[in-house]
Amino acid sequence: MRILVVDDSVFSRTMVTKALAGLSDIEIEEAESGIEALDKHRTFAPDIIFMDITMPHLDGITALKIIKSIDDNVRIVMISSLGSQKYILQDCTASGAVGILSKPARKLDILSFLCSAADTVKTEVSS
Amino acid sequence: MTLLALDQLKEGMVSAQTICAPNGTMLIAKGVTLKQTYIDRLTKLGIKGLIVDDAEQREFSSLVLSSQSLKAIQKLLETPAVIEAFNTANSAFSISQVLGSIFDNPFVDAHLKSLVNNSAIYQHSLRVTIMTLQLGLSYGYDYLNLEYLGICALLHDIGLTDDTILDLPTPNQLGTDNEWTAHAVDGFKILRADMDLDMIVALVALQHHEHFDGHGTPFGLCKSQITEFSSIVALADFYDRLVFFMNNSRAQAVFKILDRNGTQFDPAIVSLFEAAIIK
Repeated sequence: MRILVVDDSVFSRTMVTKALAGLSDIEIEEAESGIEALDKHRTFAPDIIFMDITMPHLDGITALKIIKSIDDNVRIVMISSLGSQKYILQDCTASGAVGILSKPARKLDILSFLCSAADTVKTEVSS
Repeated sequence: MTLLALDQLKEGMVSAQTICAPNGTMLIAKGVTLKQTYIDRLTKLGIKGLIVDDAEQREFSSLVLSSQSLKAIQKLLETPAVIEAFNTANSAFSISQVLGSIFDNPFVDAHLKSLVNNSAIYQHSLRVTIMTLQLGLSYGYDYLNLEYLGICALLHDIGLTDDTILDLPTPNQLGTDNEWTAHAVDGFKILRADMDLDMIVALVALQHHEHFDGHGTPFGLCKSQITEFSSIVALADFYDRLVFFMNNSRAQAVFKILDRNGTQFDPAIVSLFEAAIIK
């Protein structure tokens, strides 16, 4: 399973990658902007993306919309300090995100989303 | 491809990677032929090494289309209608220099084949490139960013196959089956599939019909969701269509652009337009 972690903050990316550390059969790549996320999406082809919303150059919601328009299979979880705001949740969900976590995201929540997203990926692969 | 230390780099080698500064400014782009000034700049910035194309493994296209396009665009720069519309009397030489680098890029040549099939779209793309570079010069972009901006402008309508929509005003509506949406998304997919082109080139093709106020297409993006390059090409594209397809005079076209300040167009880009084209 390929996982892409997108955040302009090194600290925030590390929090997520540390939560995923020790899991077997996963590859992790990182990106620090929406543009880099788009680039990694075409070269790394992730199954799951954890993406920050507020980033310079291209924000997470824009990257989410673009990626989902060309790849309906990838599962995208938004992680943001704005995550608790209702309009953000609505916008992300309407744009195709499978969920949104508020920063600082807990390891349990990250793994929970990973498990449910992974089950969906496995189901699609086997069918 | 080979990773070389900076002191091993020589003029004429081709960069096989893109390096950006932490603030996002492109320092060296993939596919760029190295000049000594580029190498000196990278050294000054503390870059340790660069991946370059192995010349023996590179397959060059014949670059026939590139050299034809360069001649075509240089001829356009001498055309009175273009000089008047884009105010390029004093910047033609600088624009030519950047164009030379753009058309040296073999990855650009590969896409010109689809553009040249339709004369109207091709000429439109060349003119938009000229105007975009004029705006870029006014902005103060460095040489590398100007090259990339020029490539974005040249290929922005790569997804367009029907030139009849060029004389239509951009509608203020979204719609996935809309002609405006289709060619933006198609262009994005074509350019995205080319791993030798930076993502920003594909993004400009996707976003050049987005509006500053969110009433554009295909996603209804607004303000900072639209990349700066996309905003510049969007304005150049619209202005060219007003003057060369919708038979507006220069004054009428200028008025329509200014009238859309803050709605269709980013006010910062409209200011750039005023400085570069009007004055």
